[in-house]
Amino acid sequence: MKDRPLVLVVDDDPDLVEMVSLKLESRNYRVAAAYDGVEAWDRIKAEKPDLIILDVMMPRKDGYKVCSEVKEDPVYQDIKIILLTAVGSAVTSTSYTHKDGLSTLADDYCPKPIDLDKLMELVEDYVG
Amino acid sequence: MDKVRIGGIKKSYELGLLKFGGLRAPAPFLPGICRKLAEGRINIAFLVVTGRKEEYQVSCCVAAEEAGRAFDLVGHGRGPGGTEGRLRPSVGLLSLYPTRANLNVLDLSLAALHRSALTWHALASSLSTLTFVLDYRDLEAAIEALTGVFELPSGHAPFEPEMKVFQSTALKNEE
Repeated sequence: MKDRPLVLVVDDDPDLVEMVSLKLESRNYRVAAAYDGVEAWDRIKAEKPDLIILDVMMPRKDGYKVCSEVKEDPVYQDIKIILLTAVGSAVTSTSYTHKDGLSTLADDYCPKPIDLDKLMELVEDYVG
Repeated sequence: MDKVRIGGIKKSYELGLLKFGGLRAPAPFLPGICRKLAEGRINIAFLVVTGRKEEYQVSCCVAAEEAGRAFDLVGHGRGPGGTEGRLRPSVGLLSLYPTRANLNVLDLSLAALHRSALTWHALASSLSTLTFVLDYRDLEAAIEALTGVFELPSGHAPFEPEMKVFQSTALKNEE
């Protein structure tokens, strides 16, 4: 029997990771978690998830960088990626915008604040 | 004894702790100070209300460099429903995650801090995280005590926060 799909949830907000993880588990997905981009790569190499839910603004290595590295690596490029993108910020200093999210190689994106049901629909579309 | 695996430990930057005790009820005092801090564009890093019948206490942390201004903004606590508060200028948060509702994480944390003679000023839990407020100078010792009982994942991020968020009065013109 094929294993249930493994979803890696990556965000530096532990509460958000937990909230998404609980929802995924309730839908019978296997879940792994990472709390920044560097840790995410460790999990990707160790567990090769079927799908990654990836935040953008994180310490050490941001989501855009992780996304490009995964999609440019022949071993991992088949992993689906849903990027969690912040909708246009009013803060002058931010370098992360909605448009930047759309220009990455991610398979899809989900705006923050997250609508959990919509996110689950996206997950279902890719690995359900 | 085997260490318990958790996802991570994170420490905050330096904060100031505003503590108000002897409140008969959380309202109108609590909404009042939150409103004043919001008007002063001061972010609240931590806020917890504890209490029982007619004896409540509010603990509120803001960035250390804004703590004095915050304390003045809230009139040192002498507002409607309030009493004179106290300002502790140098504290920090230490957060452990995820707890996955495992009371053993709380038990082990409390025991580890106690064994190292570290006192904490406030404690709160969220969906995933257990957060202690300690004196800023004690944070390193607390991390050492906690990593003695908890195992962190490989590639764990540095404990130090990388980002510090302040409110700006300038607005960006989005294209």
